[in-house]
Amino acid sequence: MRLSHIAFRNVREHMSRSTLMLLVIAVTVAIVSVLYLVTHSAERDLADKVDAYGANIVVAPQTKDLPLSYGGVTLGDLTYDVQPLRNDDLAKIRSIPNKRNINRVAPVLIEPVDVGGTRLLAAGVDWEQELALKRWWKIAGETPKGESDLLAGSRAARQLGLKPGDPVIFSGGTFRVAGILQPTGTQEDDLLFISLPTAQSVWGRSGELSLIEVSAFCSTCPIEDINAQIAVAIPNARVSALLKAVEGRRLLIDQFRLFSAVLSGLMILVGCLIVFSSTLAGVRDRRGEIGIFRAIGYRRWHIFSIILTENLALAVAGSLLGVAIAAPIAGPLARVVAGVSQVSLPGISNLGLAVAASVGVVLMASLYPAWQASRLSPTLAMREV
Amino acid sequence: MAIVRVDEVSRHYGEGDARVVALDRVSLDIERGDYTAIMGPSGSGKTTLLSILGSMNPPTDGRLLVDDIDVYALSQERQADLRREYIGFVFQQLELIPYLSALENVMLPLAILKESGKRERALDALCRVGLDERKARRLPSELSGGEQGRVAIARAVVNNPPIVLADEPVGSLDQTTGRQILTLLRELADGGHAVIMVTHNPESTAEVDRVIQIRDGRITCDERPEICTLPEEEGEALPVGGVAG
Ligand SMILES: Nc1ncnc2c1ncn2[C@@H]1O[C@H](COP(=O)(O)OP(=O)(O)OP(=O)(O)O)[C@@H](O)[C@H]1O
Ligand SMILES: [Mg+2]
Repeated sequence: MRLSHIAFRNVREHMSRSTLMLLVIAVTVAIVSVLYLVTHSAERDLADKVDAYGANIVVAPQTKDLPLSYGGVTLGDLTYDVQPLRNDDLAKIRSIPNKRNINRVAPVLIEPVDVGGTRLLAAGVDWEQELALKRWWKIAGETPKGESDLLAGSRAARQLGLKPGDPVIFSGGTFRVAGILQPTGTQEDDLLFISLPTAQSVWGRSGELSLIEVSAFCSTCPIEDINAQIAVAIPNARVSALLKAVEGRRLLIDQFRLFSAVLSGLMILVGCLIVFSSTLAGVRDRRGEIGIFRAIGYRRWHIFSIILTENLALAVAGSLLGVAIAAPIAGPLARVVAGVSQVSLPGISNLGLAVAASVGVVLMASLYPAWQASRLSPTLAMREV
Repeated sequence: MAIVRVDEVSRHYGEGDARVVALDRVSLDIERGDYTAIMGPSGSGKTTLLSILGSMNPPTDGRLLVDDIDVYALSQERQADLRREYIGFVFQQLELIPYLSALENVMLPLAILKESGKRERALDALCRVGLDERKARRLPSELSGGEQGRVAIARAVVNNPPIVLADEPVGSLDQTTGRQILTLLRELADGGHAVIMVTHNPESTAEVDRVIQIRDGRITCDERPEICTLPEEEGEALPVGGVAG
């Protein structure tokens, strides 16, 4: 028999008090976990949507003259003397202070080309970044990935009579139509997309870029901050934020997060108070018993550890129960409250964190009662009845 | 050399007008193998003396030497260690822990030790007071009063302490079972323990070697039971170490 044995027996003996503490711990852990899961899922969902909405920041050269429009964003007129963006600028964007909030950085180089007498715009893109950014693109044929692959906008393809597998010759290069982009209703329908390194070499514009599309997601800072940071990193560029529905939703999630944090804090505080007062009441009820332990030679530390062990056991059991309650509730609640379809369930590490945190908090709340217990006098065992 | 030496011990409670002198310059020696009863009217200081002997109630004045160790000069934690090593308690009302089995109650003093064979030692102690393994598994509420008394005694001696203190051990028991418990205490003394018992009842002193009478915090008689267990009114007239009889 060890001290923990006495602690466990006592927990069982005082069932009503133990059950109260267990439920308080479980409910607190459950509510805090649910709020966390819903907030976290909403944030994840938003991050996914940011990808789905495409770029929310466009970096373009400073215009000095006649504007050329692309995707609603004004570009420098290509015939004028403009300081172009360069490949190096991509790394600069990736290294701003809020770099962790940058999702995609997609460079584009645009050049007018002549295909068998038809004048069109061609765009050199980084296939991987571009396709990740434009997730709504539907491609008939193969997904382009090679250096000589070409992706034709729907109208451009019709104009030139292209179908997948056809060769296309322009700017002194020969390309193979990998796929045809289904109509998007934007200027993209008129473009011929080729790989960026190939574009830069056939057009003799090594290292140059016309614009950079960026998708950023920042749940804790406004998109304007990221804009400003990019503007500092690339001083010769013009950085514009595209306001999206995402922004309004971000505000909503921010408010929900604040609400969750306040509610969680209050729940934890109330839970602590209940653990504190019922442990203290338990110690008062057991004065005689603790006096006996002291009289038969238990040191103060032994009494202290018996009380802490009891609450430790309740904290572990309570938080596991709380997580078990939270797991099935979080999903439906996230759907109803936050309209989130995909709920990220906690992993083992989050479970461990929840248990560790509640054990820590419960132990903190038990320190004073346990200390009081350890100071009880052994003469209590000899009280007259 | 005496296992217990009480040297000019006084104990006051409270201050000023509320001051109570529970013990007034009490001195006594107790040897191993002594079976001693402390007697006296209510409020005379018996429990106070016993708790001072039990190294859990520091006296206002004087010293307690246990095995030549000045107990109250030790730190609180060392006093706890000394209680564990030297003293076994049989409390008034027995004070078994209701949610632990008889065996677990007996193992309580061993629970803080890091050694093996605790269970065997506890079973052995129970066996010596006449309780078998079947009874050992029961809760105190499932045992008779006499059996509970035996469990309390087994708990007091499981550590084999040289001193056993008992505060009114038979106060709550009927006559027959009370007598069995007193006989068990006698056997402990015969086995070399110094047994000190507080009692109200002169009949409880039948088997003791020595009676210490206290009154208003002073020892009024310290002799063989035939001499000291006179009715209290008459005991008043007796000098310390009385010569009557
Ligand atoms: N903790 C205390 N605080 C104040 N006074 C106390 C305390 N304990 C005992 N006393 C007083 O000291 C005196 C002796 O008390 P003690 O309990 O030692 O007597 P007792 O002989 O054991 O009495 P009883 O036979 O009723 O158990 C009494 O007057 C009592 O009121
Ligand atoms: Mg008393």
